[in-house]
Amino acid sequence: MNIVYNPDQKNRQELVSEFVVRYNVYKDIMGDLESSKMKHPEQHYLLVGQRGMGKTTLLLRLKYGIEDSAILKGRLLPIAFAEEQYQISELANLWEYVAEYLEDHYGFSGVYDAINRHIQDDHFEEKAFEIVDAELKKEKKNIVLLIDNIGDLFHKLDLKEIRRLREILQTNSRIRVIGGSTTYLEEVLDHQQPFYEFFKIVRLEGLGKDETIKLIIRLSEVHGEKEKIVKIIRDTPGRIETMRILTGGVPRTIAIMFGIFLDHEHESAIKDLYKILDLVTPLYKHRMDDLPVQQQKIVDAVARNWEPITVKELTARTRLVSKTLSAQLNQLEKEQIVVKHDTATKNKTYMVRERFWNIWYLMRYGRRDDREKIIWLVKFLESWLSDDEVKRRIESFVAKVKKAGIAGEHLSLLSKAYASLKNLSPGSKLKLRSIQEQTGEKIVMSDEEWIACAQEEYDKGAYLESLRHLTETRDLFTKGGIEFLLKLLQPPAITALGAVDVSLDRTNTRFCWGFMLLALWGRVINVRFKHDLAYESEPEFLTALFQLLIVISQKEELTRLESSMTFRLLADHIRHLLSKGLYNVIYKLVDETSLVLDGRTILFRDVWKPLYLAIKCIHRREELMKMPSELAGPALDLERHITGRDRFVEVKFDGLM
Amino acid sequence: MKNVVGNPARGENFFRREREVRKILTSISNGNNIQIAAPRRVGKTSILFHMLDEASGGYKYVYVDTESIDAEEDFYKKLLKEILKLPGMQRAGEKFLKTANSFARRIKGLKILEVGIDFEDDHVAISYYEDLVHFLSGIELDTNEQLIILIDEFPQTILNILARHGIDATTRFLQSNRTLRINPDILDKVRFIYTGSVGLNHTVAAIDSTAFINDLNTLEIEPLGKEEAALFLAGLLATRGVVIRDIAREHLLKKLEWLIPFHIQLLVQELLRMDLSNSSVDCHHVDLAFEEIVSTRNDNHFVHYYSRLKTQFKGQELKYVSEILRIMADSGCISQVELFDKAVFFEVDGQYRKIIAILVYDGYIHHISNENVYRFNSPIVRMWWLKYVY
Repeated sequence: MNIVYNPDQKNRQELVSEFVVRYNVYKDIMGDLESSKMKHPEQHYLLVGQRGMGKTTLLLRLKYGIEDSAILKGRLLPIAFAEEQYQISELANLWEYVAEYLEDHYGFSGVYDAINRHIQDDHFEEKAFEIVDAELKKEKKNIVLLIDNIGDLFHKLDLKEIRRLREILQTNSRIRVIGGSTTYLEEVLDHQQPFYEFFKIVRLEGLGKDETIKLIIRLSEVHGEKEKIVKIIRDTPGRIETMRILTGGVPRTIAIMFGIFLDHEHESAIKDLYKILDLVTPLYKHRMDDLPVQQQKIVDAVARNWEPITVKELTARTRLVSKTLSAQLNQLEKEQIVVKHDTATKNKTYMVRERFWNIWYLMRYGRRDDREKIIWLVKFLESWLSDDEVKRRIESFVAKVKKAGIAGEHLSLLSKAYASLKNLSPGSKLKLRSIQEQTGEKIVMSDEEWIACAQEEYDKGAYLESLRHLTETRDLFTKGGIEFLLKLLQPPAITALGAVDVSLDRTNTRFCWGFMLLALWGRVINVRFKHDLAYESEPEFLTALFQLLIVISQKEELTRLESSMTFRLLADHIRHLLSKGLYNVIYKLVDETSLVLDGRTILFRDVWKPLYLAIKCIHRREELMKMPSELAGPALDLERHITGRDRFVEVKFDGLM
Repeated sequence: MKNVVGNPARGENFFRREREVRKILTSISNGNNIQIAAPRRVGKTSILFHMLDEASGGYKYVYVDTESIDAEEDFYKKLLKEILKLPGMQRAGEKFLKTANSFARRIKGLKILEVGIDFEDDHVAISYYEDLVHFLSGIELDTNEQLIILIDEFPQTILNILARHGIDATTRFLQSNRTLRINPDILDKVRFIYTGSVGLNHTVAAIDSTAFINDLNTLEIEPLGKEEAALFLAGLLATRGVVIRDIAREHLLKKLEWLIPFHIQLLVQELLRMDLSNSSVDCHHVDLAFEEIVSTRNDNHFVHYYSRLKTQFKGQELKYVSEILRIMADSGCISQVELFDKAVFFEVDGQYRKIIAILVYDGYIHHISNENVYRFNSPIVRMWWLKYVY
């Protein structure tokens, strides 16, 4: 992972050949260096960018560029400072460092000793600088100080030394500075500070589309995966864009994530993700640590929220006054930590710019309760995968679970994460539902989602499956449900369903009921349109239907409206059969149909008494007189409905259940 | 010409500002010592460097940045040191030192070594002020040649001394400067030009020492004229192979109004960031550049306008200033009458003229006499104000 964290440990050839982004900035600065005569003090630069944006790499590239430039070679000597400059605590040390560097790298001699002779002098720094300057003048050389984390240097110097350094840089034409910093330093932002507006600030922003592609191609060459990447760029360019957005275009994060970018397999990607989250920790932790305390508090609140958050909400969470908060948010936006979004109202919202950083933060600092525990993974999957990929991954995950190919922590983590995904398609939910016993992760689907699943099967011509999903709705008699039922009642669906054997598996009662309901409804419609029924098959159908109704009566699986509608249809159908003279058939069926449930024989006439009595009293009206009054009423109503004497009276089915 | 920002533009990167240079040269030839007054980023230091590099008017120039100096003695030592760096000055100095030392050994801080003149830091009884006076009065310059000492960041030096040594030492420092300037022995040979990013007048007025600088001729650096600005703009763009259409140039200058080099440089920076087809700038690009210039990314170039107010003004004065700038940002201008009326409201009617004068001096606003109103100098600053302050 050297490639990722320590550009200065790469060899020169590697660094140069891998330098494919930030090329324009490099070219601009090199152009300036090469065209500078250094007769007068020249432009000094400050490269500002978050950690991982490529400052160190750019500084190194400049160093090599200067060394290789035919124009600058031997004339302008780059002096590279290590990222941590522990040996420098005052300005004089800077000149000592330069002296050592000149001796170690460019064949100067005696400079350091000359400086050291004055170590006891009151004006040691002045002396030290003069000696370095005189040597450079003598040797006709100029130097460029490449100082990474120049802010650290500034912080070590006192104000007087800072003023002195500015004096030198403003008046001495032999020295120029190119610094790097993760933030806009107080030293350059505060108008009362000497270095205010002194440097030309080059802000290294997140990579754009083209540069991201360039970087990914280069990375793929390094990893020997170029073919794969070229294919991705050609076939699914959206994935590159997702990667860019998720990483905020930060080159180092892109390089770290490259591995899982290639990988489509869920488990190994998740394993890699753990590894990656570990790897990014030094980079990401610093980003937070670099911030002042108040800003840390704000970023914490923004990150925990994940979604864009308003200033008002932030005020409540951070307990900072809104003026302070706005000023700090402004600064954070400038530092590219957060990003501001306009909304339809006047209120702006803020979120963490680099989404992957936010994911890391949630994983490391998120709350430990059950839901929050996996939120980072959920957010990762949501950001990382397109809807299609989510679908594909869930399909493959479910297949593996069914084959017991995944178990333990991974099974639980992934099933939880997948189940928590926002905008999960009904189809994917359904898939996950099919393994809920193995995962223990209950997937709740709305009626709309079930109808959407039914539609999907319907479109495939799988009508029975379509009906199965439809009857999973909690209430079939909603607008969408009824519309769908009507659709199933028409060819080609009804034709196909008509051919299905009616002896269905009664363990799924609602599904059986749905099937029967359709069959019943189909019969009613057929009669209405004067199609003849095959009466010989009615007893079989009605027996099955009655048995189902026995089951339903024991399980209470239908809503009141569902059962009312069922009985209305049934009553319509029976009326028709009676009108055809099938009284005995009906009476016999109602009287005799039974079912053995849990070892107990249950008679249809016991559980659907009003229907039985209604049928009975159609033939012998005096039967009505024998009935207890609470049954006589509904039975009479039903009898009237069946015989058609209620033409203008609404039958109350409520009492039937 | 490169688009140099921050560091003063030198040599071919400096846009020649003949008008300003002429103004300074005329004042020198009239025998004045000068303080150059101008808001930040108008190009004071660049003009001084230009005069130094070109030896304008045939004078000998020495540039001294005294920003880090916080003691009177160090100030004069630095002056002496920089003067000695001038070509030919070592020789003239040695010659003078030999004569002087043979007489009264009046110059104690300098010694002649094999390699030239060096400073005698360890000597206890050194007064570099005395040494400088003696040195300047003693050295021989070519006939009619005058030495112009350009002292940059002088007000900062005053503030440094004030912070470290207190008000008496600071007054003494200003006094010795004045005595040096009007010393009859050096008056004909040497002229002083002071400048700095902090206003000298305010700095000195704050310690009631205006009398010590009232011998200085105050010169103001004006923004560029329209033609100059057009040339400057074209020059910066041409370096990067970009041209600007006439109509776009007019549009830009009209929109910019306050033609200080720095704002032109910022606009150029924004224009060059764009994807310019045919490398040519049109009005649309100009409008985009104006929008971009006040984006958060460029905040650091403008935020000082706001933060400076807080250091300059306190309490009611600050509230007053904030309010009148808000009105100007909002409605474009504010009338003299309203300025007074608001001053009464904020109970600063005794100081309001002084406050307005500071805002004018510091480059925030200017007066339009035929309408008797004040408005922001720069529409860009006004745009920024509207976007970030309120």
